[in-house]
Formats: sequence, C-alpha cells, structure tokens
Amino acid sequence: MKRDLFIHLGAIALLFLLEILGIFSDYHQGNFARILVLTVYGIGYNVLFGYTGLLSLGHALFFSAGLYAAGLSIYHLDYNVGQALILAFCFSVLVSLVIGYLALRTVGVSFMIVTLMFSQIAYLCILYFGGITRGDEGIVIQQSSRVFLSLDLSDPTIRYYSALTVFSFCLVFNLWIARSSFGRVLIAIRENSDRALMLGYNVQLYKLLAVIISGTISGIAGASYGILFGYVGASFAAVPYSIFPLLWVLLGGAGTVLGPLIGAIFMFYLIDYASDVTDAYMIIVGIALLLVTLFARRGLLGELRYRFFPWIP
Amino acid sequence: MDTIEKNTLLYTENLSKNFQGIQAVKNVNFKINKNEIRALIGPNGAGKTTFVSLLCGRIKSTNGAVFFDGKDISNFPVYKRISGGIGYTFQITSIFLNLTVYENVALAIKEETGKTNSIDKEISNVLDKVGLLDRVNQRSGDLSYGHQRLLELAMGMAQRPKLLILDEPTQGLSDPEIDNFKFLIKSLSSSTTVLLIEHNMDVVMSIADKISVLHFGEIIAEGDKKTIQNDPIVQKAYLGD
Repeated sequence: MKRDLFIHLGAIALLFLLEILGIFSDYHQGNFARILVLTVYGIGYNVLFGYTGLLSLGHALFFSAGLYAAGLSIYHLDYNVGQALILAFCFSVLVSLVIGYLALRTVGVSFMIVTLMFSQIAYLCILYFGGITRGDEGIVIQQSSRVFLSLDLSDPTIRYYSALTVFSFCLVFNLWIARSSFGRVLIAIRENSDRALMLGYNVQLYKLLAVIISGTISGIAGASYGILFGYVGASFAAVPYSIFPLLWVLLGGAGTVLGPLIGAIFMFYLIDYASDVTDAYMIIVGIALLLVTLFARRGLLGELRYRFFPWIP
Repeated sequence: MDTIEKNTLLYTENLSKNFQGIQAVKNVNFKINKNEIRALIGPNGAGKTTFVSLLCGRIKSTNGAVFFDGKDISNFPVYKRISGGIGYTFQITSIFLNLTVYENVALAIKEETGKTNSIDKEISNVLDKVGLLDRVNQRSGDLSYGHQRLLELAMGMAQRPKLLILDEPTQGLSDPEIDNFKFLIKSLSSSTTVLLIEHNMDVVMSIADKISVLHFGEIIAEGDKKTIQNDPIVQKAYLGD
C-alpha cells in the first residue's frame, strides 16, 4: 500500500519542479506561495472537520493566534523568526487546548456556535486592544525582521520554498495521521461516535487531541503567513477567515489529505479569473460553488475517491 | 443475595434507574458467573436494555453498584468499562457503514500500529468464524442486513471481552442465519461469558445455561430452562391473567 505515499510525495515533487524548472511566472509563484500557506490552514481545518467530523465556525481564532503570536513578538519584542515560530507554536497549542476543552462540552450545532463566538471574542479583542495590535490597520513586519537562518524570507523564491517546506511537513503529517490507528479512531468518531465509545475509545480525549492538532496546524499557518507576507491584520481573525478553510475542504474533499490543496487552488484561481471578468465576481464564484456542490457533493477529490480510487487517504 | 464466589464475573447490588419518576430498573441484584451463557428475557418495556446499559455505563444508575471482575466499576466511565472487558453489541445495528468490514473489525481490536501482521491474522480469524472473510474489503454499508448483524457480532468477539452483552442479536435474521448464530455463541462460551437479551424463545432455550426474567424493572425469576418454563409468575407476566 505504498501508492498513497507515492501520490502525496509526487504532489510535493510536482510543486517543487514547477518552481525549479521556472514554469511559474512571478505572478503565479506569488499566488502559489500564498495558496500553500493557506492550504496548511485547510489541512489543519480538515483534521477536525474532514477526519473527526467536528464542524468549527471559529478557526480564524487559531489562525490568528499563530499570526499574532508571531507578529506581535517580532514587532514589539524584537524576536527573531525562529523564536517567533516557537512562541506561535506553543501559543497555538495552549489556545486550542483551552478552546477545545471548553467547546467540546457541546456537540453539533452548539459546537459550531460556541466556536464562532470564541472566535468573535478574539476578533473583538484584537480591535479593542488596538494600542498593541494596531487593530484593523494591522502591523507590517519589516523586511529586516523577516530573515531566517540568514535567508531573506521576503524574496519571492525563498518565500515559495519556505511555504512549500511548511506545506510538505504538514501534508506528510496529515498523511501519517490518516494512515495511523489514531486517524482510524478519528474517522470512527466521525462516522459513529456512539459506536466508537462502545468499542472502548475515550471519545472526548480523541476529540480534544483533534482540536489541538487542528488548531496548532492552523496556528502554524497563521504564523507562516505573517512572517512570509509581512502583514498581520484583524481581517484574518474575522468570520470570512473561518469560512474559507471550510470551503477549501468541502471543495477539495473533506477527509482527503490532498483535498485542501485542490480546494484552495480552485477557489483562489476561481476568484482571480472571475474578478478579471466582472466586478461582481462573487456571482461567478457562487455559481461555480453551487455546481460543484450539486455535481460533486463529496468535493473534487472526494468524488474521485468515491467513484474510482477508494484507497485514497 | 447469593454469596459472591470466586467464579463470579459480574454482580450488581440494588441497581436502580429512575427516568423522571418512572422506575425502569428497581433494586436489581444480579449475578453472572464466568463462562456462563445467560439469557435476559422479559416483555417489551421490561427494562432489559436499560439494565444492560447500566452495566456497561451507557446510562448512569440512580442507585446501587456494579462489580465486575472483582472491582467496583459503578463510577467508571463507559470507555473504561469497555476497555476493562465488557463488550456490547447494539440492538439496532450500529457499525461504521462507510468503512470496510476490515476497518470495522480493526477498530474493535484496538491495537496500536506496528503489529499489522498479527492484527490481520486476528481479523481474518474472527471474520472466518462468522463467515464474512470473503467480504473483508467490502464497504460494510453494502452488506445485507443479516451480514451486518454478523459483523456487529464479529466486532464484539474481536474485542475479546470477558463479558459479551448481546442486545437482541437475532432480530431480523432468517432461520438458517439464526442456527449459525446459535452455533457461534455456543462456541464462544469456552472463552467468554455471554449475557444475551433475546425475544426468540427457541434461541434462549437452546443456548442459555440460565435465564433471568425481568418484569417492570425487577427480576421476577431466575433459574434453568425448566424452572423458568414452569414458573407461574413468569407465565403470568408473559400471558397476563
């Protein structure tokens, strides 16, 4: 059963080759760097939604936890990139542990609402403490602070490779989860949590671990985004940034390792091309999303898996 | 209540459950020995499912205690009771419909990765016993109802429980399937204890070592087949006055 490893490493290799062979134009190189970081966010979301079956409407909280932990520590405390990343990682673990512990007292619709509310609290706090966060306006991280191991992360090529590195680690980690017995239990909880409990699994603990893994990956995505693109703003903590990863995962295929990547690429370029055609580009985006929902209910990769390749993790 | 002997696997002391004033289970003192096949019978609504749910912790008791394998497990959460050796199969088939037969049984075995070979062997072994080995890679949602019931039983067996609780396992099965099922349960009793809720009297009479009759949440009779068949209180409970 090595073919699943082959296609995932193949996807990473392809993204590497596109860059090293110079196939990307500057424009697409920039887009893909952004897409890869956002995909990491999607991967984080997918662990909770796609694999464990818990629908959170407040993941912007975790994304911005990493984003602000990294951004504020660089901006106010003169942390270097390495220190900022470690802080962002630890802070994301802590935030997801606390939020998970509290939110998992609820299930279903209540869980959606509770996560949404926590996320709104975080968003409003960012605006309220504008003296530190600079609120809506946000913080620009200077180029001189965006250096890691003497690499200038603002350089487009280095930025692309950095994004690809973070993406690759998270993708492989996700693949490992999907193939592990731990991942199988998460899927069991998604499919029938009552039965999982009656097989002797500590369902609450597994759910909490899923929230922590999901929130931490989302936080890493946020930290990477702030450092690679040099901007930390409150809009990343607002509701749309909780909905985006849900859309990427649904479009690509919930519970598939490569789904978030496919969904993020699709969504990004859909908006990109639609806005060339008309100012009212959201109409085109909306129609395209409706069509996918109608004809590929399991998402693009999810549908392929259902029809042809049931072995895709 | 009877003395608690060395070979007692599970017993309860005054186990009770109130549902908003309705007493579904009343002061039940119940005892089951190791390697016994015990049938729990009673009219609809007698509290059978509630009672076994109290044993495995799906429902929290209002009063009383449950002792299993020498330990008071009354305050144990469900997963701890199950891990401790109580297996439960659902009255309404409850399997992972979107997963394959293999994955369903693998989840029941609960082994960590790294020992794939021995898990595969164990899975094949269990599926062979229930006759589903040739369907190992099929999506369990595509199985017939009878096969799904067998998979549910296979999952119970794969857990290797000390006590296997089967809640109406033969419901909706055809006669040949029931015969196969009876044979399976009999073969289990050398390694495990079985507590069986069953409406099919033919099944009860042919495999149970001992029968307990539950009526309005109370155990009204207990004993071997003959005793139960001839018990006037049982006859009254089943047939009315």
